[in-house]
Amino acid sequence: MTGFILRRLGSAVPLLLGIATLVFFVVHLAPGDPAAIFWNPDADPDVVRLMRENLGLDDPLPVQYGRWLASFLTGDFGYSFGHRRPVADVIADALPNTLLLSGVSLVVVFALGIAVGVVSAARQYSRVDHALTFLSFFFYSMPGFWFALMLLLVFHYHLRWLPADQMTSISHIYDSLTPLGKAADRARHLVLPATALGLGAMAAVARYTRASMLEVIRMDYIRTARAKGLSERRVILVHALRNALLPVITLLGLYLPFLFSGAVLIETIFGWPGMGRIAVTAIFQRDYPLILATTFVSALLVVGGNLLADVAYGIVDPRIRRGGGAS
Amino acid sequence: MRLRPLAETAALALWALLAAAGCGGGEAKRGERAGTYGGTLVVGVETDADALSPLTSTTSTGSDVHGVLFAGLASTNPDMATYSPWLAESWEFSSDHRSLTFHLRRDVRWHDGVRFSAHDVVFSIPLYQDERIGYGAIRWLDHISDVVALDSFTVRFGFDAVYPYQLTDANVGRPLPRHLLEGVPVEELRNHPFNRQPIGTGPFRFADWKTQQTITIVANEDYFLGRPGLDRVVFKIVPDQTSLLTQLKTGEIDFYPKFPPSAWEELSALPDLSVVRVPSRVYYYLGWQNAHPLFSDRRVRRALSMAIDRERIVSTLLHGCGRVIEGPILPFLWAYDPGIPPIPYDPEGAKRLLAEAGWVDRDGDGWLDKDGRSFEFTMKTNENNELRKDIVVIVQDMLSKVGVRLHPETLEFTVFIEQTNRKEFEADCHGWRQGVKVDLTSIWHSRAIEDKYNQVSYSNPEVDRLIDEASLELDMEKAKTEWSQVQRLIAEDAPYTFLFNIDDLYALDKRFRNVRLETYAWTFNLHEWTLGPEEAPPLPGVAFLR
Repeated sequence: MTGFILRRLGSAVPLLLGIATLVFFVVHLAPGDPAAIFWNPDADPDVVRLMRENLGLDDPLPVQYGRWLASFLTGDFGYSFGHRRPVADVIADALPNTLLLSGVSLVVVFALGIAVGVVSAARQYSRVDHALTFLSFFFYSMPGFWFALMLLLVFHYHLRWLPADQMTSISHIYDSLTPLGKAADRARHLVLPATALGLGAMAAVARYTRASMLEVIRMDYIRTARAKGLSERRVILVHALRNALLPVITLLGLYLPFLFSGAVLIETIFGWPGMGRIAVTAIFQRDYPLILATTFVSALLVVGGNLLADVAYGIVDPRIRRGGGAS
Repeated sequence: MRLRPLAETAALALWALLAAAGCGGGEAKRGERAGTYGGTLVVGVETDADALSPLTSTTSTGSDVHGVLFAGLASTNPDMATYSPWLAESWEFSSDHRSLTFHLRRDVRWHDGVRFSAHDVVFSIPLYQDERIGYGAIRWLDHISDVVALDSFTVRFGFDAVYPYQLTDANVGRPLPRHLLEGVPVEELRNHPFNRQPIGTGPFRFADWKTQQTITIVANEDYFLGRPGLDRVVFKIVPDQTSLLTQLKTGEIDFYPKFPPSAWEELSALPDLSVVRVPSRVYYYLGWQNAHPLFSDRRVRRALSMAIDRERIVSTLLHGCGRVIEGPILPFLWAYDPGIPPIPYDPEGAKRLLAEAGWVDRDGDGWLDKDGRSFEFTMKTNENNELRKDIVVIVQDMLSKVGVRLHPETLEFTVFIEQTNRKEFEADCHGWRQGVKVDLTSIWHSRAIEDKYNQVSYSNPEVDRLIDEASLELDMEKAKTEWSQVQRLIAEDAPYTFLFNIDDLYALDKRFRNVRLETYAWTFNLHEWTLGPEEAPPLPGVAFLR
């Protein structure tokens, strides 16, 4: 297992470097001028030219690439043009917020998704199953941004239960809260964005789990387990579920990047100060150092997510752990 | 039913989560009372700031904030032509008009308690002039040759030229604290922590900045002109317009500056809000590439302007929140000429004028042609600006009625800017924000074709001569006559189709009093705003301030 992880990590390094290089050339070759953010009628075009010069944007591309790669490899991401501070600081501010949102979402997606799937499968064709199937398709087919706005409308505007946006109440109100109050405040702010981000994926996970469970339940060893006189609960939750989870775990690896890309819209609607918003603004402003860093971080997360899924595979399926099965 | 515990636990967990989340909700912020001082104003803005120092900020949120954190030597009056004392109690020019001396107040302290003096001014001006920093209005300081402290509270600006805007230019770079920034290498100032922890002399002090969430400023108790009425102003960053409008309705946000015209009717109907229109400093236009063979003929450009119903664009797309303009100077500036002969909406006249220029539908396909070339061209504009995209579509329709074919092309903002600056367009739909100075050089002088903002390559020697003269004319009346001639000549040549001056729309909770929203800046008297008292009149429900 350790060797497997090390091998995977080793192959990830050239992959990440390749991604970063590709992105470097793509963003630099795309039309658009990063100095355009200095452009306004009060500002002299000279200022824009000066800034291009100061930012080193007039050098030949290979020179810029060499300079970027050298600092990048030493862990220096440079300064963001738009935020006026080190890229590392910008990312350090935003990444934990995105990880919190996606993390909570991911737990909800899989915990609830698997639960719903198991219930549906165990009680196939019952009313509960039909209801859950209907709801799953309903949420799955709903466009994320629209659902987010509906949540806002219902829970913020009409019911006034939940705050509309951001991670906490505005500073001076938040600062006056007790530690417990602060935790509750943060939790309240998480509910809508995490729900909006996760519900569609949860529905999909539920469908996958249901299908996978139904397949497993028909297996001989389940019949054997039942014949042994094990309780139905034990049969389903221990014997069947563990085997049915294999394809679902593949989904885990696939959903990590989805949660980050989906977060762009959700972060904008719910004013969540995360990576998605920063990445999109950076792209529109042609903030090269920040684009490269955000792309690199999300590539890192995707590669990490896949690795995590592979490891989880190994835990659930001993054949993979021993290196015998397909990986 | 053996599975029930699992399902139940899941459902319970979900409900517990929702219930816990819900129980603290619904706090009503509206109705909060306050005396003469106190209270919080929450301002909803769509984008975060880049920096909060006047030296380095390039965003509108940044300038809204640093505009009340930093005081200037003199404050610009709403007429944008005269000044009132601020950090300086008085000032005077030397007899040859080449030096300007400011007498500073002696009772001003920086927000960290250090005394403000003439040495701060002497320290700051060279920073604004330093090309390595890239201050936006850097060229305004070109004629300031030296800044000298005559004593701790007297500072003298020397100029290498005599021109009408010397006071404006001396006043543009607001003083920065020498004791905090001295010794910082110039190259580091753009990215210096001061940008996120500003210390100024203005009515409000910086409190905190949560990136992409909120910027909070609080009353400066020791402000030399008296403590501001409000305790605190929070700039809440809400990137989504729908969410911003919703929060305005729920009272989570008190003030939405520059909301989109499409929300005008919806917000006007709300009893708790004042909805106000103020003419902005922005105008929209259609630019015709004068150097392009299609648009080099003035008759053609005038005909295109005649074919476009600008009043209809204002009434439909702007919901009436704007006014048609005829020339390059907006009504709020002293040099504006209200008597420019307008180009009427007259499609039939447009057809006649086009025929005169040789454009007739010879092949009967419905589109005009000349020398075997059909009258068609591409009009570029940028993404993320619904208004501009809509204008292009409406104009496409209007021009098709006179046999002219327009192909719209929308580009990403930075690409659009890059291409228009390189003159890579036949026609574009664009806008300018007019500065406080009457300055037509960088857009209309033929000198500006090469590398400034004369993107349509407009060239008229008479206009060049008049601009050069008027820019140096110290006698305001004489200058006004010259600017008036310039405006009429440009309007006649129709290098642009001038569309409209748009209004800035503001929605404000009615509890706020003593509010003045000005074209110059909505923050103009932010330090005088108060929450209540009830006796003072609020802004009217729906108002058009001029």
